[in-house]
Amino acid sequence: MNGESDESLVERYRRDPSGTGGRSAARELFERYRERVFLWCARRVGNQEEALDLAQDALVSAFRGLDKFEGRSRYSTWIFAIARNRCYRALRPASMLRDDETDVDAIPEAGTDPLDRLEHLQDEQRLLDLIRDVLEPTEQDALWMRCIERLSVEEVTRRLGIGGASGARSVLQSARKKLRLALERRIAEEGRSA
Amino acid sequence: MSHHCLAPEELESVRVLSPEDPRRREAEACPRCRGLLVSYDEFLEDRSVPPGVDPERAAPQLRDAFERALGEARGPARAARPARATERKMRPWWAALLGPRLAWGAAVAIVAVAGLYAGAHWRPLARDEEVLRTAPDSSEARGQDRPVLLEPRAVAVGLELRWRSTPGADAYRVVFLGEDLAQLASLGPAPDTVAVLVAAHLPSGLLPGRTVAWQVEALQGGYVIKASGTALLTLP
Repeated sequence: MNGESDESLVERYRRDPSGTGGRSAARELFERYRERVFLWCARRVGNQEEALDLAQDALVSAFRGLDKFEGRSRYSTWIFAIARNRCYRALRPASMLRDDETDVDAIPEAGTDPLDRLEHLQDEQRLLDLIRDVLEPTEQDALWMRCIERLSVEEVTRRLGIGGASGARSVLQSARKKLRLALERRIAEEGRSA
Repeated sequence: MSHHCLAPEELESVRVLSPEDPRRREAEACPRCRGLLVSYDEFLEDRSVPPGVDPERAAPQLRDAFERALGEARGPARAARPARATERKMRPWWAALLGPRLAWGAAVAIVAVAGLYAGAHWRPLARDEEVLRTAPDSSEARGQDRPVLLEPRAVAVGLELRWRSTPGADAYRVVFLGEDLAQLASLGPAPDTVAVLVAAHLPSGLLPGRTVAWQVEALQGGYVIKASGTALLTLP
């Protein structure tokens, strides 16, 4: 691995995409991010095959899109955004209102459950505003990291330095309970004023 | 104060800021931005392997897929090679008039005359001649070790801005200034001593063809420790 910056490798590839120099630059970029992308996807989906599909999709898309790389950001943030989009599109949306322990098979079809309807009535920005209004800072972070960034409960516990036997699990339960109540209250108020 | 959540392309520039930097603090105060920063940080730094996952087993498959994509990308370029036949037909007018042998003779003569002319006027190009003459500034950040701007270089996609490094700096930010010295846009911070202005995607605030001033700030832990002088630049 050489000390050339990612952006310089991109530039070298774009200058000569079919030549030896360009191809070696593209390979170097691929090798720099291959394992990172794979492991990051694997930590999200938790299994080899699905992670392999997602990482392959992200890495090949990043390579094919090198012409579209605008150079306004670092290459690392660009490929991260691609991997993140691929992963989150493939994953079942995580509920901010339902506990992690809820049996997936017991969840009613989308749109038929009152909790689902409640959550889907809100867009991400409104949920974010509500989270900031009603939750403690640690609860806010735990819920966002778990539900939007899809970090494992163990990772959230570690990142936020939460102590106790249950770690982030109890923080998440309390946050969801508060959020459900606040959301129900807000929707009731909006219903009255409509 | 209204808060604008981070876009993914801003992650690195905020990540390298010190915890006390106002932009970093604003991002850390928002669960969405904080979550995104944690996720990006994990992407860069965390090499932990989840149970049942083997990155070594994944490597050959990922390499195969990449090599296939690389091969496909080469396809059109190889297909384009026969175009050389038509290039050969497009000989210069004087070659057509003189015929191949005379044309070669004329070409050699032109090169020889050009060589003699260049020899008579040649003088060694000192490395410092590349350095841009910059306007004096009264910034507190000026000093002996400040970044030194080098002559921008045209590249395929636009313009490459270059400067000499500053001892102790861990990142640099390129700042573009208008006539009134108000900041129009910036690039970075990034650790490299080069930044490419892509003509097709100039940072917002910059208009193609416009002349602006540019300056490089050297940062350490998110703080500006030195700043270069300013030089003028015509945007690609």
